[in-house]
Amino acid sequence: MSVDDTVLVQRCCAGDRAAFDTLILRYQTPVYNAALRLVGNADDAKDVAQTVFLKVFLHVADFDPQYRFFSWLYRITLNESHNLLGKRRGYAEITGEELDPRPGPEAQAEGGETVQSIDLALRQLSLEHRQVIVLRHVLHLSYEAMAETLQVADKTVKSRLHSARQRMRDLLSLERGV
Amino acid sequence: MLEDRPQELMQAAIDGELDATGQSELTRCVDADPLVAQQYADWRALSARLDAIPLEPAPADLLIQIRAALPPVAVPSVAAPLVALRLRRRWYAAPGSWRYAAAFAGVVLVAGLFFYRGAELDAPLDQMTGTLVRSRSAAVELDHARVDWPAVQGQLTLYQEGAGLSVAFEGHNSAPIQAWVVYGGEKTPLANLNKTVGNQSFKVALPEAIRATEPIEWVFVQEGTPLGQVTLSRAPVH
Repeated sequence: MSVDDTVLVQRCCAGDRAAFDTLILRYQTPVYNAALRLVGNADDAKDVAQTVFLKVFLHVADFDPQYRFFSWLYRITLNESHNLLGKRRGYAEITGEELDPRPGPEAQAEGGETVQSIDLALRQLSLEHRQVIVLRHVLHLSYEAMAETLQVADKTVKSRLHSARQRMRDLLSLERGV
Repeated sequence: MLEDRPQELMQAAIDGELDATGQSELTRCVDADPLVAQQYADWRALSARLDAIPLEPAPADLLIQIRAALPPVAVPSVAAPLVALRLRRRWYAAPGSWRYAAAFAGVVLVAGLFFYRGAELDAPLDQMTGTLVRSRSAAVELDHARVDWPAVQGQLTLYQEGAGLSVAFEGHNSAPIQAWVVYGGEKTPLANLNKTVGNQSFKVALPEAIRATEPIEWVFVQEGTPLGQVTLSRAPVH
């Protein structure tokens, strides 16, 4: 029987490193994959995941137990991915470089044309839309959990998800030449 | 806002968040309007395509690197008892009176869920997913597999019923679980596992597209964390 997240968080607060390791092992794959689809490459996603868990460790005493741990964790993941994209954009503006919208080598290595085209379409979405697609289709969160993670109303989640899917549909149709 | 009621129903359906009443309403909309039927098929195909984004394994050295980055001193333990006892100012939270509104909304939401779930549990079993099969008389078992994760345990059984296939689940879930099979661009969920918790016993008809001889893979996910896959094949059980 696995130990509940809340219990592990309490143990972390008491200085139990093993409990924190358990949380990392439990959530490293979803956190890494969310970051991967948000920032678009494996190196940055790894940096994001590392920063996320470090911040969780440093701020675990501030975790509000009225929420579920994973929604707090995923909210930090979204924010850190946002921060990294902001830094990258700032760097591109300073150096005059243009951001490359093509899928990174890891996406190409995944092989599937579907993954490549979805990654390409994801990069053309607004961050708000990309976030809901990732929460829903990569992390498979419910509307309620998405609302808690994004700190918005359920109806906002539904509306935003619908708009994001419409945009994805259009982008994928364009890419297919339909 | 979503433009119209059918759109709202279609989106909720592909996300496995539609109740029995909504499912019936959607079925009526789809049956009455070929355009709605086409749109629904398109949304389901897109959703299945997005759900098929593979989960990459986390880098093997991620845990080691995180450990190396942690400060040598543990998190202040004085905070531990406080966490469980009172609400604290959260790292990402902004101060303001919205908390009271949020708390009130939470009470309303919980009350709503209570009545909603109560109503749903009172509904006849065959109305819960909209695609449940009533009779098992002509069912021939083709394969079965055991599901055994902390939040869900039971047996998944594949049946041949006439020309069609169906899958039954008998067991228990202690948390909402999303489970589905993706086949030919169509995603078929085991909706009950996402809607209710407790003892489960139901059967779902599979889409007609699932006729091939290759194994049928069911994906199980709990709040974003993949639990695993269960494969059922069409080879007869001896």
